[in-house]
Amino acid sequence: MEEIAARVGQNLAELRQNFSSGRTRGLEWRKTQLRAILKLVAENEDEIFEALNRDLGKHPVEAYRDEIGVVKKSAEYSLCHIEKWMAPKKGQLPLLFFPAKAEVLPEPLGVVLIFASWNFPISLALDPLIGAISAGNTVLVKPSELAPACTSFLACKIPLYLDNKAIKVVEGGSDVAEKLLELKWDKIFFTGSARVGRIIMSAAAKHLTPVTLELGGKCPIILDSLSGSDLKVAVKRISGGKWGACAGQACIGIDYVIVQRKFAPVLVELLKKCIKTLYGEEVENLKNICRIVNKNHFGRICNLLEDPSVAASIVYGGSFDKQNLFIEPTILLDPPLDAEIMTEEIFGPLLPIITLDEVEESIEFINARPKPLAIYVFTKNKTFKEKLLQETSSGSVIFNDTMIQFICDGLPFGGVGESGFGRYHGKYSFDTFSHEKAVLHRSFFLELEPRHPPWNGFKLEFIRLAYNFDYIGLLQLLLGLRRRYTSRTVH
Amino acid sequence: MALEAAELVAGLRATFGSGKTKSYEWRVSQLKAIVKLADERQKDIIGALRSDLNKPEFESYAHEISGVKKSCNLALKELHWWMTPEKAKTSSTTFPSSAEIVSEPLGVILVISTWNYPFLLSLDPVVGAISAGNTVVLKPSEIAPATSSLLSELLGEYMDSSAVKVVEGAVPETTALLEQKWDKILYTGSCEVGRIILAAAAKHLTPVILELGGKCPVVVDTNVNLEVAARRIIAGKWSSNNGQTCVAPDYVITTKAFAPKLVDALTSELEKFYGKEPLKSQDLSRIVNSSHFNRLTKLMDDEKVSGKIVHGGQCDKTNLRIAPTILLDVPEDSLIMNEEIFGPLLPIITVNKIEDSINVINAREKPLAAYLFTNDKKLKEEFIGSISAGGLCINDTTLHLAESSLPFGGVGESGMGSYHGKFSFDAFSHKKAVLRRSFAGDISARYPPYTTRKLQLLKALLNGSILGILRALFDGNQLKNVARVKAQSLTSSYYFLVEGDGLEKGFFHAAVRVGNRLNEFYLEIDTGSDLTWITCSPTNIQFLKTELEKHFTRCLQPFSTYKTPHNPYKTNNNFVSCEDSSTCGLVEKPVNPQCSKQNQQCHYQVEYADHGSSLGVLVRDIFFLSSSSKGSLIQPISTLIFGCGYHQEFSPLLRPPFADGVLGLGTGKTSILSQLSGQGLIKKVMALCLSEMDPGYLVLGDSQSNLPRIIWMPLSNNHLE
Repeated sequence: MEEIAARVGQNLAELRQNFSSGRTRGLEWRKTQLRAILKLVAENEDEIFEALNRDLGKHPVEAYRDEIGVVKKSAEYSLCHIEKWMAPKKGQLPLLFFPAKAEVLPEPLGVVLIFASWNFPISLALDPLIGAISAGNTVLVKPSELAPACTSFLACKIPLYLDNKAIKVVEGGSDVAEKLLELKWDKIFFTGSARVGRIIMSAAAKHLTPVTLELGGKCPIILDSLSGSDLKVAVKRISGGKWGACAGQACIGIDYVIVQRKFAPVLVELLKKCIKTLYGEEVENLKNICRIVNKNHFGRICNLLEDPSVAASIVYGGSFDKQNLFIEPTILLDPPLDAEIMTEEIFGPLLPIITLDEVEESIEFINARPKPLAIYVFTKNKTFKEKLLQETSSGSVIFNDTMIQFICDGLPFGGVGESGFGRYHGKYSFDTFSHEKAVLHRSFFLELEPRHPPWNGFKLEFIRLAYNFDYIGLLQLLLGLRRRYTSRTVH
Repeated sequence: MALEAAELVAGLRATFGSGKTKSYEWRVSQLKAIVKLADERQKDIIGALRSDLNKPEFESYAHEISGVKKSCNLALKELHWWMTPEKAKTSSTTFPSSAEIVSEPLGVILVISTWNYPFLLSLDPVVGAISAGNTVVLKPSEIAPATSSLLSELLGEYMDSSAVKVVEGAVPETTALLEQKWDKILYTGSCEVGRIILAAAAKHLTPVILELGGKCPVVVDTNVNLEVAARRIIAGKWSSNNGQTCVAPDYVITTKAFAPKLVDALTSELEKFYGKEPLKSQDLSRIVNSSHFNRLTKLMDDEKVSGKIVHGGQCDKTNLRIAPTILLDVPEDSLIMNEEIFGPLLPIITVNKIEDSINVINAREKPLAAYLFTNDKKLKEEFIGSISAGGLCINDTTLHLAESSLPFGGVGESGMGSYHGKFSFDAFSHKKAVLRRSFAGDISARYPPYTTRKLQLLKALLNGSILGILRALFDGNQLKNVARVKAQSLTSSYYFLVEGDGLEKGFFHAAVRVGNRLNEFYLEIDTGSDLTWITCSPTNIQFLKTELEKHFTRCLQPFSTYKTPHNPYKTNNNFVSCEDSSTCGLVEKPVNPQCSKQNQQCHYQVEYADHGSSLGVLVRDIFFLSSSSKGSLIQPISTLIFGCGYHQEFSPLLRPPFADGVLGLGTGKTSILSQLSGQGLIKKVMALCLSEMDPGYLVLGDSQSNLPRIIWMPLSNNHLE
């Protein structure tokens, strides 16, 4: 324990010293590191595939789509824009302050701590890292111990490619995390559960450290009664979003579906068909689907199904392979709303379908629960779209697709309420790890006398007009044309 | 008390749930109400501030009342714009889609304010919370009781009491409030309480803005206008609530040699401002209460600083007044240098070289503000680059606060989060990402069963390499002979040389010669679009002054234009008229809503899957084509219609194309292929031969004698499925 504390303490001291030296502030350093990340993923593609396969049984295509590709795209996007992001932004100044110049200058926060999660162990470690580097910070990354192969991959490759004086990786479990949280960081970026999020934030409070919490929640999908090819596309996208991204173990993964009651049978039939083509039948023959990360989570997900009334609602799947930690894509029709499956984030391949009389009632249903990270809506009804947008609150809203908001650099990615706060991706990543420093430049000439005491009526009137930006009034006042403020005499 | 607090929050949550605070009208009405109360009750406000702090009327007006009014007026003016969803870029990976960022209110906000600017620091955050459409509880500071009770009265009287509430009280009341779940908390005050607030917020995962303080340094270089510098330091220190300001200068750093001059200047200006008996001046605030008074006198009584007082030092315990006091050369380990002073004492630290001041500042916690007086450009740059503080002000003090285009907020020990102006609106809004997709444009590679080809396609898509996408869609070997067959009569063929930086980089272009001067252009080959266009110089062009162009310049602004390999094409009064409907009507996206005049030009706009785009006008000119696969035998073949693109953009995700334009080879009527076959010159077929060594060629038409063996196949229309 002592040894851990000493090691992380030493790491932090070294990072802080290297931050103070200013080496991480230059554009060149940032670009070099970003290029190094690109090189790291490009040269080690097969090893990443292998590690993800070992930790989660992730197929290389899925691994490329959700991990390598994401990192590559983020790093390239950053490289492309970093100069523009670093440039100070000009502010507009009122004439009163003339001559002066105002600007907002982004500066690195200092030493950043990133806690990555196990479900996308490569991208959720490297994507925030890209933001922290782009903003010029030194960084300590703590990957999740629940994805050991990826963690050890990151721990051994990052020092080979990146500046190991400024970017470090610490392996370990909650003991290490605890020690890390005792130290003072300039920013903590956490991806994970709301429960741990609270612990992180409480620990950060001691040092007044700002945090970004990327949590999850039960992300609903609302499926309007579509037909024909639209319905086919929707079902395919739902199947891809639910089971195709780490077998439902994703923070923006679909948690449950809301449909109109009479529409449910159609949906169930189509989903079944879709599952069979995409993932195959029988749990032993499943392909292209990730396994559950470990026994604990496997047990947790199986437990969700144990409640007899929940078990009775299974309309497809429900079998599992304990040996290999696979769970079949499972569909449940109207499980009881007070069962754990509908009160906890599922984070696994179970898909409850909730039926309502009218699809519009979904707004009320969603609002009765904590704010999710994402709401997915498949509809062609414009009024419903706008109503839903106005009346619900969530990290993001996606119309007619699933999951793709994650790769859209123009959009901020982050939650609200129980799904977290703070945001990243693209420019937002840069902002998350930067302090926006306000800078005002003034020159020495043109000093306005009314700024200084002794105060008198003239000066008060001057300020009054100045605050209203009444320049003509000011001129009149200076020329003595305007009646002074007389409500009270001031000495 | 906890029960009361819970009921209070439940009430506000119900109001928020009803949706009434979300409307623009409600927000405006509440902002106007604040302006009204500040106008109508000005005297009461000034009176309360006199009573709490003996604040001079001038300061009350200039710092507090106008500050609040200014924030409201700015919000009233800009709110509509702030509330409009912001368009966001989408990438080729999510094509076709549109994205926007919607600002939505967070819900129920708690504002815990402080006593030094009890009116401004209470209402300024409330203005932000209301602008963003939230319900708010304001907890003013009990240390400024007159203002606290006035705020409670005024907000109850002027504002919508179902959505804006004031809770008066001290620690127990605040504790009860902090037990509730809020959607955002803004706290202004000390680090110590800041930590408590943050820890309480952690239980409910509530985001927090902390506006704390810190020791704000002022560095004074030796080359400055001493009188102006002294006045501006005084304005920020003593003329701002007698030093009881979070951004007030806390200590001064200057050189050993210059310090006496600075002290003289400060002393003489102080005397001009506050007279010989500053304790009696009505232009100076008093200390807020006796515990703060005692804290401040203790700082002066510290034996480490006794004898360091070079100006002032007088105190009046009964009236809680302390005169402006300057201390010279105080040791770094003295009490006064180890806590935020927050009062009228100004220690001066001396260094040998002014550059050393940067190390002095950086050895301490990050302050809320840092000031520098200098005329030395280098020092200025070094200071801005290496001092981390909430805000910096060069050659003045505290003025950056009055600037609503600058965010106000700290970093490190001086706090987190920021507000003022639009930043206030953003601070109390959630930026909801909204992505709209149509049901079209599904790429099978997203879905299992996964194959190697899907992996290739994904890589290409994420790389934005069009050629890579093609390669993945067709078999790598077959790509050399992608062709289209669709016509009957045999005539001849024309060749374009195709060059590029090899398959490595994926750029290929066809060389085309256009116009009487045989100017050469490199065009990207695109079978997916029809219109051919060439970057052209914007002379003689009647620019569109429509919404569309605005859209172009505003929404796509982060896209950059690129440098072309050749000089732009020059028009020669060869414009296609917008009335020529047989031609102009064929443009993929006609952008000529009102075509009135014969000489009006025909505008076009093309957008591509990779989010590149071109805006321009249609022209006619002679194309010189070669009838040999080696590119020789160039002859003027035909007058063709193409786009003269004056505004091009390409996605920043992609490398800039090394081309002057696009050679459109689609099936539509504007395509070069269709135009040539329409004139009976060629058969409507084409072939592309790419070679990794020699220049390849693109051949339009089918002339068997010239062609090597080609396997003809129809080009898939549905190429992304």
